[in-house]
Amino acid sequence: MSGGALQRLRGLLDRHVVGHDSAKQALLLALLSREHVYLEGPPGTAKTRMAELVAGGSGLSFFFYQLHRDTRMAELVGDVVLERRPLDEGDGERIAQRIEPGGVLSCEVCVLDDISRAPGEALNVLLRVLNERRFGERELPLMTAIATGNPVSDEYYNEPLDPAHLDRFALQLRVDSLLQADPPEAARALLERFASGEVREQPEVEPVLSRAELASLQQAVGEVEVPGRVKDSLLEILRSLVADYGCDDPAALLTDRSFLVKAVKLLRGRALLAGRRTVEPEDLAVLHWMTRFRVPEAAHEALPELIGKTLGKRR
Amino acid sequence: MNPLRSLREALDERVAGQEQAKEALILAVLARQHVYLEGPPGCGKSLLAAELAHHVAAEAVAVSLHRDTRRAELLGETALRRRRVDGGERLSEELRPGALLTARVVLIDDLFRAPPTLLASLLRLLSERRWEGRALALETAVATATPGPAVSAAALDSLLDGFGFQIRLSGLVAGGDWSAARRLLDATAAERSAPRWTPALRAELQQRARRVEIGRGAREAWWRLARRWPDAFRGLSDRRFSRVLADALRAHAFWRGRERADAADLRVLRYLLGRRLDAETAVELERSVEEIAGELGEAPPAGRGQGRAKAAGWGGSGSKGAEPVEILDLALPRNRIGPSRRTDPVDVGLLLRALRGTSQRGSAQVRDDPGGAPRQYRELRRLDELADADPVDAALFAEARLPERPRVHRRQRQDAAGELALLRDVSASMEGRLHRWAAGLADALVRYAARRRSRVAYVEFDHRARRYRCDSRFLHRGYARLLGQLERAEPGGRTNYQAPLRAALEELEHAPGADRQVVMLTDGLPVAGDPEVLSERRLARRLGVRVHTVFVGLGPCPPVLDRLSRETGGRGFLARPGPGGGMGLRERPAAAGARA
Repeated sequence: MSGGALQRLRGLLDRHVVGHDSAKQALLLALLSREHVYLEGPPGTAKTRMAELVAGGSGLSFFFYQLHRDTRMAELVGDVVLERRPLDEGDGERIAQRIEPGGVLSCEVCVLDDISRAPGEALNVLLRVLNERRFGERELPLMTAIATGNPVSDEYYNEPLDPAHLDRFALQLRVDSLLQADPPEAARALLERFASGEVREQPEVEPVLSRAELASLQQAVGEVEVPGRVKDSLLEILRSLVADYGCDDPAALLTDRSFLVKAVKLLRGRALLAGRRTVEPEDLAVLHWMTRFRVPEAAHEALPELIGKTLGKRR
Repeated sequence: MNPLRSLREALDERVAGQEQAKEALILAVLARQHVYLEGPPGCGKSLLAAELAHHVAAEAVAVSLHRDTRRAELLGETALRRRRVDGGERLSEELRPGALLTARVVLIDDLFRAPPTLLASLLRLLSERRWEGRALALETAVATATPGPAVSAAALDSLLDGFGFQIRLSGLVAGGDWSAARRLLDATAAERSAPRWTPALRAELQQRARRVEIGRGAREAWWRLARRWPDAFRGLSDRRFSRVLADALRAHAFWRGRERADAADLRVLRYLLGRRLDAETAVELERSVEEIAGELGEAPPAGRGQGRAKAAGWGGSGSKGAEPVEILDLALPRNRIGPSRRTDPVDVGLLLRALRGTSQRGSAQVRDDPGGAPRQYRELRRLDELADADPVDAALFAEARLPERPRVHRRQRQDAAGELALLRDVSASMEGRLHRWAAGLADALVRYAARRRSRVAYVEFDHRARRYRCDSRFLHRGYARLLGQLERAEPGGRTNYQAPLRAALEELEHAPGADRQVVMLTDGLPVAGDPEVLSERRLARRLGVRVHTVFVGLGPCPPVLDRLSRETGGRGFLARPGPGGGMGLRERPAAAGARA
C-alpha cells in the first residue's frame, strides 16, 4: 500500500512551508478525493506556495493563473480561434469560432490565484468546468483546482464570491498569518528559518509521488467503507445546523451537492489519509473544512462542539 | 411495461427526493410545455433536467449560458457569402440553423447568466416557437436558474411567460427532506440505464395525452378556483391560464391513467405557479382544489378567499412635531470583522428570509463605471474603446469590413445589494435578556448585510433618536465599526417610534437606491412622539421603503407596528423565548396584509 507516498508529499510540504497544518491536510485530502479547495487569507500567507507544492510534488501537469479584474474566459480555457473555410457550395466563406483547449482544460491541477478579484460573470464558465469536469464533449483531466482569495473588505478590491461559485469548492479554509496565530511557535520557526539564511530562493519542486501511486490511492478512496451510523450522525449534525443554528437558506449554503454527495467522498478520503479502510465517526471533522464560508460564523465555531455532542449521544 | 411508470422508476433510481419536480418535468414533456426550474445552487436542478432528457429524449441538446454566450451557439453559425456583382462584390450573412432551431428538447442551464439581448431573443423564441415564420420542432425546453434577477415580480412574470411550468426546488437538507437525504448518502454511482423513450414513443404519448377530454366538473372547478384565488392567479397570463393549464390538466389525467380530466387534476396548478407560491399558500391552494372538487354543484361560500383584508385606511393629519435627532459618528475603526460574540442562540433565519429578494448577493445592482469589471457587451462607440473590444469581433471588423461594429466590454461595478437601515430600541425597558436578544438580532442583520455588501444605516433610539454615521455617511459599509457600536449600546430612556423612523426615512429620501428596507427592533409602547407615526407611514410608502418590524418581548405587540409593516409591504415578527432558553422568532399574522 502506498500510504508512504502521502507521507512523502506531506514531508515536502513541511520542508517548504512552516505551520498551516490544517491547510496542508486539506490539500492532501482534496488531491486524494479529487475535490476542489478554496483558501482564503490575507496576502503573504503561503497560500499559493502550498498549492504549487502539491501540484509539483505530485508530478501532475499544472496550470497557474493569476486572476484579475479583467480576466476573460479565453485566458483560462484556451485561445479562441477563428476558422475561415470556403463554403461547400457557391462563392463565399464560413467563419466559425472555436476554442483551442489550453489552461484549465488541459491541466490536472490548477491554481486560480486571487479568485475573488475576477468578475463573477467571467468565472461562470470556469466554475461549470470545475463542477462537471467536462467542457462541451470533452472529458477533462482536471483533478483538483485550488483557488485562493483575499478576505472581502474595502482594502482589497474584490467582491465576495457568488454562492453558486463558492459551492464548487468542497473544501474551504481560512489561512491566517502565523504571527496572529496561537501558539506563536510557528512564527518563531519561520523567523529562524529565514534568519539562518538556509532558504535563499524558492527551489524547483521535484515530484515525490508517481502517477501510478496517486491513481491507486484515488481508487482506494472509493473503496473505503462508510458505515450507516456515520451517515446517521452526518444527517443529525446537518439537521441540528438547520434547526438550532439558523443555517437555512439563504443564511447558509448547506447544499445537497456538497453535504450529501461530496461529504461522503471527503469522509472516505480522510479515513484513507489516516490509514484506515473504514470511515470512523471522528472523520466527521471534515465538516469543519466544509462549513467555513458556507454557514454563519457562529455556527461554524460551534461545529466541533456539535459534532462531539452528536457522537456522544450515539455512544 | 407501462412507459410512464418505467420512466418514473428510472428517475427515482438516479435522483433522490424532489418528487414534485420529477412529476412536473414528466408532465411538461407530455404536455409539450417549457419548464423553468428555480432553486439554490447544488440542489440538483441540472441533474434532474439531464436525467429526464436522458430517458425521454436522448437526442436533447444542452446549452449552458454565460456572460459571453454568442448568438451563434444557440441559433447557429453565420455564413458569410461573398458574391461578385458588377463593379464590386456583395457580402451577405446567412444563418445555418443550429442547436435551438433544430432540437426537439433543449436543456438550458443558468438562464439568467445570458447577456440581456440574447436572453430577450431566446425567451421570445421559446414562447413563440417560431423562427422567421417557420415553426420550430421544439417541444420542451427546460431552463434552470438560481433565484431570480433583480427585477420586480411583475416583470419576472412577463419575462418568464413562455415557460408554462414554473417550479421552485429547495435542497433536501435545506428543505428538511431527511429520508431522501439519507437515500442520497447511501446512493452508489449506479450506471444510467438505457434511454426509455424513443422519439416515436414520445410523440405517441403526447398525442394520446392531447386527446384527454376535460370534463364539465373540471371546467367549473377551474373557474371557481380562479375566482377564489385572485392573488395566486394574478401571476398567470391569459395564455398560461387557458391553453397551458388545459394541456397540463390533460397531461396530468393521462399520467394518472385516465382519459378524462376532472376537478382533482387541478392540482397541476402547483407546477404552473410553483415559482411564485410559498409553501403555505401552495398547501392552501391544494386544499381548495379538494374542497371545490367535493362541493361541486353547490354555491361557493360567499366572499371567501377574495383576497385578504385590505390595508386599513387612515385619515387625519400627521403630526409633524420636530423630534430631537442627534447625529453621532461611529467610533473606533476596526479593520476586520471579528467572530460573533453572540452567546444566546438566536434564530434569525425567518427574519433574513424576509430580507431576501433583491438583497440577494447574486443579484446585486450593477451600474456602469469606467473603472468597473467587464460584465456585458455593448457596441463600440469610439475607436479608443478598441482595446476593450472582443478580439474575435475586432479581427472580423478589421478583416472582413463587416458593417457591424465590434462588441466592447461594458464595464460595470457591483453596487450595493440593497440597503438596510436598522432602528434599534435601547429604551430602559430593553434590559437583560431582551437587550441581548435585540443585540443578537442586530448583530445577525449587520453580518447578513456584510455578506451581501449591502450598505447599512443605524439608528439607536429611546425617546430620542441617535443617528450614527461612518465617515460622514449615513448609509455605509463600515460593518466592523457598526458591530462595535452594537456591543456598546446601553439601555436607558423611554420609547418613541416617530423620531427614529423620521430620522431614517429623511436620510433615505435623499439617498436614492433601488431596494431599501428598514428593520425596526423594539420592545416598548410609544410614549413620546406620534404613537401612530402617520406621516412616517405615508413617507415610507411614497419612498417605496419596506419597513419590517420586530417586536421583542413578552407583552402584546402594539397594532401600529402591524399597520406600519402591512402598509409598507414589510413583514412583522415577534421575538419570544424559544426552546432551549434562546429566542424564537415568528411572524405576526396581523402584519401580513394586502402586500403589493
